Amino acid sequence: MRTAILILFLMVSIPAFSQTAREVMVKMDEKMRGNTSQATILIRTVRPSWNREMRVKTWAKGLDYSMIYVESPQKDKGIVYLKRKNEVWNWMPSIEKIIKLPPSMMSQSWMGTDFSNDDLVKESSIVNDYTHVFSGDTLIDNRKCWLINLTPKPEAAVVWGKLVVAVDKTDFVEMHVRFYDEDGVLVSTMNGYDVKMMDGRIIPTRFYMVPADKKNQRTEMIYENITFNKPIADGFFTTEQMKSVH
Amino acid sequence: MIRWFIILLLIPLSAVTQDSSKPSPLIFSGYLKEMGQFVLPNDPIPFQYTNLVHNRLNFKYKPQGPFSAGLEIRNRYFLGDAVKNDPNFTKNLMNPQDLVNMNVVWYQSNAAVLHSNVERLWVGYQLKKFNMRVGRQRINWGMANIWNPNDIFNSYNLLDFDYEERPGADAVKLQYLVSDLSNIEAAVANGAYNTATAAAKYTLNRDEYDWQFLAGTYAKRFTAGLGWSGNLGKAGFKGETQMFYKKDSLVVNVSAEVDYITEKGWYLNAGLLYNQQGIASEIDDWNSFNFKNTPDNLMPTRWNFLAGSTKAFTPLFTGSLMLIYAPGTNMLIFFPSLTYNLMTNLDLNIFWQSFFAETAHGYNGVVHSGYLRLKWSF
Repeated sequence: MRTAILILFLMVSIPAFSQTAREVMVKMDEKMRGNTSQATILIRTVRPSWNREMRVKTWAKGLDYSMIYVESPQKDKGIVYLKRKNEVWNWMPSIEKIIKLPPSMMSQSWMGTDFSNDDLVKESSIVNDYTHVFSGDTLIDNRKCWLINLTPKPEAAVVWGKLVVAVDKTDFVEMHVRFYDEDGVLVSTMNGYDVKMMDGRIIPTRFYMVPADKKNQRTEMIYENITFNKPIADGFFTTEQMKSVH
Repeated sequence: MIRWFIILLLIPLSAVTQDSSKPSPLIFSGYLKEMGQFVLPNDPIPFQYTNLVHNRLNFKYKPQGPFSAGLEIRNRYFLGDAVKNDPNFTKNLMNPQDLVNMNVVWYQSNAAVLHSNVERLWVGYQLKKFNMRVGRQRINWGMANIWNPNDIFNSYNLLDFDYEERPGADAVKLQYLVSDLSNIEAAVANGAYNTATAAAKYTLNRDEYDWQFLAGTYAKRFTAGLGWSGNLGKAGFKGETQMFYKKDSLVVNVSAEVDYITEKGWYLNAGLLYNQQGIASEIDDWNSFNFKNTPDNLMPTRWNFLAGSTKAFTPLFTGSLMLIYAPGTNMLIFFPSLTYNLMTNLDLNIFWQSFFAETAHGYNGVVHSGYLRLKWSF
């Protein structure tokens, strides 16, 4: 669950180009993020002997603000996560309490999924925290893509040692990401599918996050709907709002 | 009262189920829990078994516009030794702080009780900067996770794991939003010993720390406190302190805690509570300890230290261990638990609580109890 939140925070922030590799990444990031976005996402955790589904609503504004509301399963319904810059809070409706989360929580799996809180929050830095180099071309689902290597800047506080991203040359959508640790070992792979028009933008609407070392295991994220650039006041992203959002 | 309850129970659930694409103004949720509780024999305590069927129904009405309302009902059926061995069992199910009695005892025998209570019943009014809630509600002013001296309208009790919602307070609460992360709250409620608890709280966020300052009256005493919630490096750092003053008598309670999650996903926490009114020396008899905590007396003992860890071994299976030690009395609480998610909304829990203390009979385990619980959320 925590991982998925991170991923959500991140995805809301992903960018394009003539571009230098960095410009491609900026365009890709903007595509999936917009100035603001609101989405309903189905997250399915798949394991060899079981799977679980959860549905969340998300709101995001720029890199600094995002909110995630858990709509199902029923046992977690009403749980809310709020991110404002570097701070993250959690509203627990059963005890009617706001709990501030420690920064070490960010590297953890989000609610049992293969996404970490960091996947959600840190990918917001996919433009600023990395240097970007074209490393080749590839074809994914009949789409011509650039391959771009991302290396973290020395001062950046990122979890990954390297990222390899495949970006569609026409629509600037993120089709594939490989996440490597600091020793250069592949940790997980994310693939984008079902590229289609949503709210006037062509985007992948289904993502699979697959851990490298675990067979038959993945987390799917399916965008059921998404709206871009609908104004959201900063005052929406507050601890008080967490209590009444639904 | 009984007629009113029946009307509520007859509200067809279909009327409140919702289309997920559009938020319905009526939100319904709840759970059904079945729990067996064993107390191991330990002279003079005999073996005891009590079964509890526990249901909670939560309704919230949130239409467009400023008004909202909430109703939560708790229904419990107890059967077994806990009922048999305690002549005051049913009486103790009532919350002495309720201003309006909304309890119903549907059935009672030598070994069984069926009891319901209205746990929340409130009306809210919300404007952009101002909101108000009137009625039975939870006013949770705690910031820390373990012990909450600032939670003066009620108190969270970490040992009472089967009742995390806590009772409501019959209260009026006003809130004014100063800015995005700053607000002023004031509340008055029927509190301990049938006296009013009235207090105001100012909350702000500075340098990535949440702060709160509060002052008011509690049980005819002046009370003031402060709480904080922030980070030390990658660890969370939270704490609360509260003082109660009346005619040369000053009581001070302080809690502080840190929590951290390792790369491998082990959640670790450690905390302390200084509870001035607590017992600080060896006891004669275990019954000297009163675990029915109040906001000014959160533990039976004075100095309390907690170390805990929680780990999700798989997304479905979580284990947790909590140890509490109180020097002076040498009280030690051993509190492990396991949770397994059998189906999406069905959890199996196992809890164990062992209490050890230094008494006139030497150092030994005094009470050992185990709990097996199934929880279905809907």
